[in-house]
Amino acid sequence: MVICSSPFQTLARGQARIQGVPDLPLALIDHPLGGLLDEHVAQRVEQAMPQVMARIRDLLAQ
Amino acid sequence: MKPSIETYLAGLVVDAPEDVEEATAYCNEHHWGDGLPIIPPTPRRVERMLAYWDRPWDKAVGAFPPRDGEITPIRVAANAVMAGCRPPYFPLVMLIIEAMCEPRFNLKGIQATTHPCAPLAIVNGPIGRELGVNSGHNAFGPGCAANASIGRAIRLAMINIGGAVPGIGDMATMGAPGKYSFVVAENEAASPWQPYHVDLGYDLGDTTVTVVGAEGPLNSNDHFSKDGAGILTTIAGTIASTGANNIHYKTEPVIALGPEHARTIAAAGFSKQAAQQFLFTHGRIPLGRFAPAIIEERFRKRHVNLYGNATADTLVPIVQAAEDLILIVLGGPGKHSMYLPTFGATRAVTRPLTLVNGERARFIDDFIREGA
Repeated sequence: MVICSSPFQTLARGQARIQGVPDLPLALIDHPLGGLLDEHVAQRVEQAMPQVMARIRDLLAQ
Repeated sequence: MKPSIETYLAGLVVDAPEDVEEATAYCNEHHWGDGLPIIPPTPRRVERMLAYWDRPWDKAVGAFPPRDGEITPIRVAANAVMAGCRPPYFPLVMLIIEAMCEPRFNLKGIQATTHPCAPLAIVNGPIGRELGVNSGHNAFGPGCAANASIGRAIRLAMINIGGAVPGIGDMATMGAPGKYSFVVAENEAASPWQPYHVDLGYDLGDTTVTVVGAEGPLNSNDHFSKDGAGILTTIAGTIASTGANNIHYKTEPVIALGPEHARTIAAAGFSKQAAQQFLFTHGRIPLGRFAPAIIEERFRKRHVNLYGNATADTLVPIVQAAEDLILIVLGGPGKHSMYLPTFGATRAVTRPLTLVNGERARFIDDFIREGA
C-alpha cells in the first residue's frame, strides 16, 4: 500500500498500471506532505489510518 | 535503399487535420503539444525527417517515463516534424534522447518531479556548427531555428511519448521556460581553453551532446573586474545560493562563462581546472544561512560526520568536488556568465554522434549516404 497525497493520485495510478500492479492500493491524504506542523501530520495520519486498516481487514478476510 | 514510410505506418496514423491551425487545435485538445503551433506530422514529412536516420525506424532505443512509451525513431521523427525541425537536425534529436535514457540521468525523476528542471543539451563539435546551433549572441534565447526546434522536439517527445502532461505526468510546481526548449552549443571558437568534450577525452573533430537536468540560468554581471579572480569572485557569489538541489547530491551543475569573462580569467593564468577549483573553494555558503529545519534535516542528520556538530560559519560547497562543475564557454560579446543548478538526483551524460557502423559522424550528410 502506498500513501499518496491527492494531487499525485493520477500519476500514482498511472505508474502502478505501467509497473504491472494496476490494483496497487493507495491511501489518499491531503496535500502537502512536507513542512507540516505536528498537528497537521496527525490529521494526515487520521486520514490514512482507516484506509490502511480497511486494507488489512480485506487481506485477513481473504 | 531506405524503406518506405508505409512499411511502418500500421497502427500509427490517426485521421487528423492537415491545416496548421486546425491541427494545432486538435493536438491541444489531445494534450499532444506545448501550446505553440504544430506542424502536422504527415507520413511524407515524417519520412523526410527519417531520411537522416541510418538505423531501423521502428527499433526502440529506450522508454520514456512516466508512461514508459517506446522511443522509436519514427515516433521521435513525428515529434520533430511537429516541432518544426529540419530533417538534418534529426540525428542530434535522437542523440540527445538516447543520452537522456541513460539510467544515471534519472529521466523518470526529471519528467515527473515538482522541481523546475529540464534536460539542457550542450552540443560540442563540428556538426553543431554545420547545423548552425547557436553558441553566440542570445544562445539561450530565441532566434535560432536549430536551438529552438531541436529543443522543442525533445520536449514534445517527453510529452507525447513519455506522457509528461502538466498535472498528470509532469508535476512541476511552476516549471521553467527551458521546458519549451533548452539546447545550446559551446562557443569553442571563442574559448581560451579546449572544448568541454575534449576535456572528457573526445577528439576535437567528434560531435557530442551533453545532457544536464538543469534549472534556468542565473546571471553573473561583472563589467568592472579586470582580473580573473575578480570575475570568479562575482560568479562564486552567484553560485553560493541556498535553494539549489545540487548542494545535497552528487551532480554536475553548469557554469557558462561568457567569452569575455573566460578570456579575462584565462589571461590571469587560470586553467579551466584552476577556475573550477576557485569556484569550488570560494562559492561556498555558511551553514548558518540555511533555514534551521534544513540544517537539521539535510545536513546534521544526513551527514553526521561533516555537519553533526558544525558551527554556523562552516562553509558548505555547492558540489561535492571541483570537477563536478561543468565549465563551458557560451554566448557573444558582453560581460555576463551564468550558473545553471541541477535537479540534484541526476548525473550529466555525454554521448558522441556516431553512424550505424560505429564510426564518428563528421558531416551531417554522412547520415544520408547510400548504404549508410
